[in-house]
Amino acid sequence: MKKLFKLFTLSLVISSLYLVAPIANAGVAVITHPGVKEIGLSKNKLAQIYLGKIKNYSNGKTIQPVDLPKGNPAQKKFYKSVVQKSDAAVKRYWSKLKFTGKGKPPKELGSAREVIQWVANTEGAIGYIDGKYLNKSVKVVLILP
Amino acid sequence: MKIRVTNLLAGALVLFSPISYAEIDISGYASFKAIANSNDQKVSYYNGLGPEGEVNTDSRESNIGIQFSTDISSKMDMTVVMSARGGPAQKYNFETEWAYANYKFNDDVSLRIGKVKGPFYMVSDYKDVGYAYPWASVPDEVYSTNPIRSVNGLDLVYQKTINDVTYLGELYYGNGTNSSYMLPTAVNDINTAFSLTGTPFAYTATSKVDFKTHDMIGFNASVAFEGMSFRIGYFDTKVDAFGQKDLDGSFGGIGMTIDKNNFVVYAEYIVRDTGPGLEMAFPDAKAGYLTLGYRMGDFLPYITGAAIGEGADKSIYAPKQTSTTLGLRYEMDDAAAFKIEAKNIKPDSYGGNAGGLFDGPITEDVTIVSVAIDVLF
Repeated sequence: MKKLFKLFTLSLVISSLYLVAPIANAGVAVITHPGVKEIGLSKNKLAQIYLGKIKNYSNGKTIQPVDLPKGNPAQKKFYKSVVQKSDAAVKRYWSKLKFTGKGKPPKELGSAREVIQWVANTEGAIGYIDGKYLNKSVKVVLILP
Repeated sequence: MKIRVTNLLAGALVLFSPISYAEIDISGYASFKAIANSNDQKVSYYNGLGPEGEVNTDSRESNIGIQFSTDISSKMDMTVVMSARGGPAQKYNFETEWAYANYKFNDDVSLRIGKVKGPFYMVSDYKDVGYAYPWASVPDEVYSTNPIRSVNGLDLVYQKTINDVTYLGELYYGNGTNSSYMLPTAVNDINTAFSLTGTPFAYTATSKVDFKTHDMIGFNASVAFEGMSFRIGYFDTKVDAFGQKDLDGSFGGIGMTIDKNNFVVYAEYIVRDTGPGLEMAFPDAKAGYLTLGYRMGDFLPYITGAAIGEGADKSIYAPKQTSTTLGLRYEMDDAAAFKIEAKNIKPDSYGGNAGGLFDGPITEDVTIVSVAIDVLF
């Protein structure tokens, strides 16, 4: 009976994974380097990371955020849903910090492929990509449906 | 002028291109302005406006800046900003505006060493980056009172966000070589007062007075949360000018911004206090402005009320004027803004010499229309 229950649970877990997978593929995945142990990366926290306000994980390690170029659909979705600012507002925000030497915007890479590769290989890295580019080299911390 | 800018740009790119992709981040900003006025009394205005209703397409406020920055190590980076300004005196010649090394003690505290931007008033350290603020021109009433652009010295910066509130504290110390545009009456009075022999100052549209600042010490602090920010700043400096040494000057200000739910507010109040010897060129002054705007999609219409008047020590040299500005900012795309504004100035003439921030006596209101394009690259 115990064995049967275990099997049942396992099958539930597996089937739920299958259920989740297509949703993940449809959305934007927020990903980190596999070594990042942060829990509870909320949208608000992510927004602050992408605006340079939060610079460290709770264990003190430096956060290395990476962006996709403006106009990329995943970038649009991420900024609309997480940062909740228009491209112009983000540009205004960074222009003040950048040209006064008080901050610099996240590193920008050209494509999801580059982002996933960079996040997989950079300690403390965090990024976002269209779910269909996901692979096992990175950790998924949030799905934006 | 175009040739100079492009030559330098090309030169800089050639110079840096072999390593630019990996090492040096190149970015920049530019503002190009055209200004016209309704004044027919043959006097010109602080920002280099030509008299008699001419359209001035070579404004002093037009500028282009190119910033080169590079990480030397995880703790240290370097920044150089080259800038070129318009106007008959500056002719878009590039000069090193800022150059500093930045050492990060940790993620919150860093020290800049070199020629750093002075955070004197609220937008002083990004006054050239027109894209960053609503106006076509920063309110002259406040920003004309401080002719100092940079600090050669040290700038200690603390920045930290705790529970969605961002704190900034900045302490700076240093000196500088500066120059300021002069009003003709001040030039004449200075020549008389100090009996400058040899080549006394003769006023032209490009007249500048050189001065040195030293033992400058100041702070800048702000808190920002939920689309609002509040700042306070003060600095004190010794000034060598007009053949005299160790004259005193101090500048203090408070300011706030709101950019929330489409409402935009900028407000600032400053006090300039100078000692004997500076009262003619830089008399005590108090100035302030309030800007109210409302974002409607890509448009931001705004209205500004501003004033400058006498400070603690009453002086016949104190520039006095009030103004009302109506303006509109339009986002052309996400890195370019077009702005148009009309500023109606009521100068308060003193002693028949000059009025407000105008170069000569003026007895009527003047409307100045400015058109600006601000870009980032």
